[in-house]
Amino acid sequence: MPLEIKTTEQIIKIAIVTLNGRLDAFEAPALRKICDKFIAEEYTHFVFDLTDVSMLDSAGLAVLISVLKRARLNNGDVRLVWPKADAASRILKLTKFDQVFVSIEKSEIVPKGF
Amino acid sequence: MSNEIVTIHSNNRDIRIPCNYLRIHSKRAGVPEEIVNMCELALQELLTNLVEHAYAGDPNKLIKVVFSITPEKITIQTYDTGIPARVNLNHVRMPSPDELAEGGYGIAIIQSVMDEVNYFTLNGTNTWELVKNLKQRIRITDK
Repeated sequence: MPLEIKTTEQIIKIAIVTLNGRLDAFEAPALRKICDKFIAEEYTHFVFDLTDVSMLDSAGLAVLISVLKRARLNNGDVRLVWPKADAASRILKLTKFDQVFVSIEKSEIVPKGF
Repeated sequence: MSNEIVTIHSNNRDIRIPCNYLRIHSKRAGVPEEIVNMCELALQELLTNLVEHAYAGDPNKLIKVVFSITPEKITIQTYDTGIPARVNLNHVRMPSPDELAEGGYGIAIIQSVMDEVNYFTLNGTNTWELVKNLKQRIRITDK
């Protein structure tokens, strides 16, 4: 009996967004616009590398929440690389979103083994 | 440090001016980094609220910010002539993260990082006052 081979292909579109600087009310609209474009292009998974974000306010947080909500609606999710700066991580703790967003290490952004 | 005044137009770009001013002068005065971060976050949130709500996005209005740094405390006052805030500071709550709300955090964040938050409106001028007590007195070096 010949070998039966079945293959499936699963394509998951992951957007990796690396930010450097302040993510505040002034910069948030630009980030939202970029994320809107990714979502329109059917990206379902997002990684925000916040390592070098120096300051994060509630307007910046709102963009991350908005992407999370929309990603989940499309069976996707959002991962955060945690910011180094206290001025950026503080709001995530204050609002308890450190318990909502899954954090990963910077080294985990790109899958190993390829 | 005596009272220092920074007046800005009501837009999200100009908010950075008093925030940077606060950061630079607080650090120069010897305020611990953690306290500086908390005060800057509070000021950022307050000014964003004023731009968005008090002035409803009109970028041509003015906001005056007055800073005072003493060995015992940091005091930040803002003055605007926009729409008075309809908020009861005794009944502000942080939205639950489960709600995934995209707004409504500002005042709750301010209250959680500052020791005193006061608001009043008089003769068309709205005044916010934020106070952060310094647990360890600082020796003011910025004169």
